Amino acid sequence: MLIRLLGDSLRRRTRRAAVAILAISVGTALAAALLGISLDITEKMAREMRSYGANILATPDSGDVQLEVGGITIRPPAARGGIDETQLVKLKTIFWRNNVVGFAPFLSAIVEVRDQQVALTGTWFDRTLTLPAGASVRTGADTREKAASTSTFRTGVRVIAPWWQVEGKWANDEDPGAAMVGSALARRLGLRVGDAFTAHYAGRPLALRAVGLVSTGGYEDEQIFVGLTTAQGLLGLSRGADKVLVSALVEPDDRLRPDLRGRDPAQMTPEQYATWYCSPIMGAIVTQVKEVLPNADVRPIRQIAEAEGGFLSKVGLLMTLLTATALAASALAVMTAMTASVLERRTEIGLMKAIGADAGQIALVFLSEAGLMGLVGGLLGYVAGLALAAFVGQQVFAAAVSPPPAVLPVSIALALGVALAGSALPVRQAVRLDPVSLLRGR
Amino acid sequence: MMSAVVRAEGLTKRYNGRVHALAGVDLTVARGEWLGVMGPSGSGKTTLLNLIGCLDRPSAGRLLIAGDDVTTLSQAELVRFRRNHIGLIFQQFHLIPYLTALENVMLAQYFHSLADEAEARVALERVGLGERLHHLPAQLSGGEQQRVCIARALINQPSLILADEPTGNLDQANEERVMDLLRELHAAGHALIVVTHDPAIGDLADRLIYLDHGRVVREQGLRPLAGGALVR
Ligand SMILES: Nc1ncnc2c1ncn2[C@@H]1O[C@H](COP(=O)(O)OP(=O)(O)OP(=O)(O)O)[C@@H](O)[C@H]1O
Ligand SMILES: [Mg+2]
Repeated sequence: MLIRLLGDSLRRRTRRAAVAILAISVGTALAAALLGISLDITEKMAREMRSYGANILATPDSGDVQLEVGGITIRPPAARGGIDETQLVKLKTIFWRNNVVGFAPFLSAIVEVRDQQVALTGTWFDRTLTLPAGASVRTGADTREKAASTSTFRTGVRVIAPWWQVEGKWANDEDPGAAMVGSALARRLGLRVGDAFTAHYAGRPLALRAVGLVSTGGYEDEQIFVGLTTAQGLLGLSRGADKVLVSALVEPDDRLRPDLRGRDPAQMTPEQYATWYCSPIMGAIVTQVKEVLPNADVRPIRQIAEAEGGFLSKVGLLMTLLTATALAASALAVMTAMTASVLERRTEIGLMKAIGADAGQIALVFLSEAGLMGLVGGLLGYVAGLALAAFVGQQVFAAAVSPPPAVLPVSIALALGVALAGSALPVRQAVRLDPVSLLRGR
Repeated sequence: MMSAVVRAEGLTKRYNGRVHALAGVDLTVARGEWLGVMGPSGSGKTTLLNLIGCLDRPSAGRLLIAGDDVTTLSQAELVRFRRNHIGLIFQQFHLIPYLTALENVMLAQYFHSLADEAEARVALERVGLGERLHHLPAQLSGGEQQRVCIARALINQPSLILADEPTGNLDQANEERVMDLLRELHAAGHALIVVTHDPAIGDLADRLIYLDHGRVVREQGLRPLAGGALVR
């Protein structure tokens, strides 16, 4: 019976229902797009931000001109390998050693593979380092102690860049022939997991095997990664790296004691300096990293990430506001449609009441009408939202969007919410209509 | 004495505190009785029916229907009460235009409890519309529409049927038809209160009251009630 009432009502008010459904769709589409994008793209973008995991960059401290292109540091051959990777274990002796999540050295070269110039980077994929007992560790600005026991820890790309998506396997650091190839590059070179290939550097061949393909959505997709020793061998170095990325847990500067904020550590009293040194803030940790890597230029790269993060959250806020506005507008449109429907049907409502409908039954008639519109609008909006998300993804973020399945129920729920919220007032109006005056035709 | 379906004492309805649509009506309707209500336009006939039909609340006075004091009922209780005890027939038919005759009858069942198509069909056959079940109100004549209303009014077995000028918009032939149906309802034991301008219909009642300016100005017993119970 209810279905019959609904069907007729919608059929006779097709245009108005269509407008309400359209309004709901638009609101839901925006919401679905926002959800899809924020759940998917921002994550991708965050991944793309190359310094996301790592927030401290160490490069050899040389006056040489250096150039970073696509994440590779290009420098004159003589300056190659300016950072001694064997010293990196000392990062686990600094005062905030427990905040050092991981680090990895990088050594890059341009090689030729299948007649194409490609970047090859040696790094640590997954290494376990050992800090021997008796090593000197910091306990304060001027104090040290001997480590009581031997400790081991894992580090490498796998630790600082856990978002690498690998098809196949991670390369083993000990395997000189194992390479991980960026997915885009692999596609261009026609390489698949397990394929063997040869890289040429300065006329010397290097036999490699693609054990895994890497996708990050970033420049890694265009590179070949090998073990650091392999890259060193190719460049004729016995040790050394061009750059080290460190991932450290850092707290915002406002966690610093108020009187120390924004001050130059060089101008502080010894007591103030000791406090500053022992705060887990970027400046103190960078200083401590510099202490163990004296030949390196150490700087935070967090700023970039933070700026981009800020941008993302601003975009998110904007889209949220936009969506909220669109949803509110849809609710208003639903309200207009439902109010018109209630007005138009007031004799009918009076009659229903006279023949025994109670408030709940009257409300049910209109709420189910609204619910139906919400459902249809929600489905349409979801579909449109996916399209919108894909479009925005391409145009704005240059990435494909694959929103998680949870977006569908959330969209439908939002649409229903909008439809029901928009109906609340008109339904109240319908429930309160007085059957007597309606039946008298007043 | 037989229990009364309706017992009104000093029933009063004021609109805007000034207009006395009803001014202290005392009234009893026995079970199965047919009461005719006549009076000039504006005398309060519809107002009286609306009060008895629990569509509206009196400004003063007591109103007992089937033994229950409806003036003390909440809005929700009134609805439930109306559903169970009262069937309404209007002058302007008042059918839902986009539902068929059958569905219009079933709607009353649906609000009451459960829609039962077979039962609704029987009710329409009873008013002679067995062939017009699936017609929309617009496809039915005025008389036929009014018969749908009658079928709808009796579908939930109310003890009391209220009709406000049920033949006011009908021609002679249809009026006859509707009067026959009212007679059948009466014979089947429903109490009827029928408001009318038409003395011919008034004469069908067991008892007639005349309203003027919201008061009962005259009362006329036309025939003794079945079972011999006399109305005061
Ligand atoms: N909602 C209202 N507000 C104010 N006055 C009203 C209202 N409803 C009815 N009245 C007044 O109450 C009085 C009785 O009206 P009612 O409709 O009961 O008359 P009636 O006897 O049914 O008349 P008719 O024969 O024309 O149908 C009239 O004077 C009418 O104007
Ligand atoms: Mg009237």
